[in-house]
Amino acid sequence: MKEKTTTIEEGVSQIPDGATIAIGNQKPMTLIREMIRQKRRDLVIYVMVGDYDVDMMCAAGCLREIHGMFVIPAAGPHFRASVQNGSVKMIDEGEAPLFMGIFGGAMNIPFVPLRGYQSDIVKIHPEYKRFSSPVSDEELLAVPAIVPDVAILHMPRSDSFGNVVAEDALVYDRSMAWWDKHISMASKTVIVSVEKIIDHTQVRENPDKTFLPFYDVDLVIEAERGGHPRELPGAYKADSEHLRLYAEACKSEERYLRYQNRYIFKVRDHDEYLQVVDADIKKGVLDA
Amino acid sequence: MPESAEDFSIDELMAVVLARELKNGQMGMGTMITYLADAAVCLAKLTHAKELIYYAHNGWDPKEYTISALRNVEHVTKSAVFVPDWQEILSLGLRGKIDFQIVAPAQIDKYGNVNNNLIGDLNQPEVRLPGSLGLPEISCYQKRMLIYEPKHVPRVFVEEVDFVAGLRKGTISGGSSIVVSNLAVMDFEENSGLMRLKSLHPGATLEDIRWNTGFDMIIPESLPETEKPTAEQVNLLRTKIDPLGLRKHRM
Repeated sequence: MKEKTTTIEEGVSQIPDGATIAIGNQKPMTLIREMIRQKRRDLVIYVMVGDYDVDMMCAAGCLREIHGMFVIPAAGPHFRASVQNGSVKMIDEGEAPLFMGIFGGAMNIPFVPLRGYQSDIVKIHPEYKRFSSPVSDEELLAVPAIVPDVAILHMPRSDSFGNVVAEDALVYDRSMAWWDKHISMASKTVIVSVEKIIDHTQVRENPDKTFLPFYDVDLVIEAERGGHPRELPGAYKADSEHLRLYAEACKSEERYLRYQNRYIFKVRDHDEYLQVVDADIKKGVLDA
Repeated sequence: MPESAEDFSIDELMAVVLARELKNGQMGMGTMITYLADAAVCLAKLTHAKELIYYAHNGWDPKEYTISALRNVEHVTKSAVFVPDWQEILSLGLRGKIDFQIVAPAQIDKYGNVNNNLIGDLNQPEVRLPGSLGLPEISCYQKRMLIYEPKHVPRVFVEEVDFVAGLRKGTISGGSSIVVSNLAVMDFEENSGLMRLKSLHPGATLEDIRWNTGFDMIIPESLPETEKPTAEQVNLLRTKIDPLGLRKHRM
């Protein structure tokens, strides 16, 4: 097994402009902020459900295309504006074809067949093809495998070889975990930020708790509270004060630029980000 | 016949109408932000459908059937009988094992097609909406898609939806079956597939329907009033199921 630890800056610099990125449901917010800070452009992202990750990247002009089934309304003022003004394209995904596409990527097969699937979702995906089943008397829909260039995820713990342990978070939402697991199998490169890098011996004590094995993980980055301002089940709750501050900042473009400067461009690194975030809440700064 | 409540609000009437559609022993799934759907499920579960099984977000059949409990991830995760992963959830749907799901899309048309994706042009929409989530899957695979709309207005009840996320007539299963709005209950005529008025809520008139619907709805000759909730149902909703009034979301 190889050492895979790296820094936030170095890890994110591996993601080129124009890359297709699958984003985990446990949103790797530190990596998202770093992509914005490094001014990544022209990205195509795959999300199950879009959240502040999508909104912040829309606001910063990082995206070309969003593939997903839903963007949480409260988190999405910049998402809505970007799609409505045509600067970002939203490709609506259906639950079954999106998941089966990622499943196809994970299984290294060209497509997965779906039975009886009808929706305008099919119309906006010219890559889907109807075909006659070779083994039964029915028409099926071929959903091509999705193979993202990069998957980015945030998880509780990992050893330095990329054996990721995530039991607490997963108990809360196995449905969400399915996506995180399968994008890590489908993508060409997998970058995982974790709350804490643990000793390899701890992994060996409970191998049944290893969620992602070393062979599916390329880079491991330590980022404590790397999901902030969202929660990490079993570790910390969402920072509701900061989310309120975000909502306030979204009320005008000028205020949002101040937010973006203060928390992304003007902070030296992730540690300073956390210091500024906590200090501001303590001071009661609600207008960023 | 239990006595009708004298005092009830429209959200309570809507929850009761939806609850009546749910049968004992059925399996149904919850969706995001559809509190009124949760209210209807809890009401059915606590009255005529004690063996109804519900998937609330993370798990099947949480212990407590109140809206707050169903929305409490920790409660659901710790008391449910099974917390499935997404493939397990999808598999159930694809095998036609889900009896119902109650949804509240942004648009519905005269054929019962539903849209929660966008208003206007596909490439540069006038309004970008959150997205379809499982609407295609619900309409294609589940036995019944029940729809509620807190605001019966022309921009919701349209001639033709701008994006067909889900179709009324599912390919394998049932698709849309009934629509419950703040004015009336609707279903669909067998042959034409067109939306038809089924009953008017107390206080609503045919004129209200005509003014607030973006297409000509089929109006049957005999038009009953929507059956009122019972005092027990209203009391359950107010005191046990939803004392915080979450069911009034978007009303």
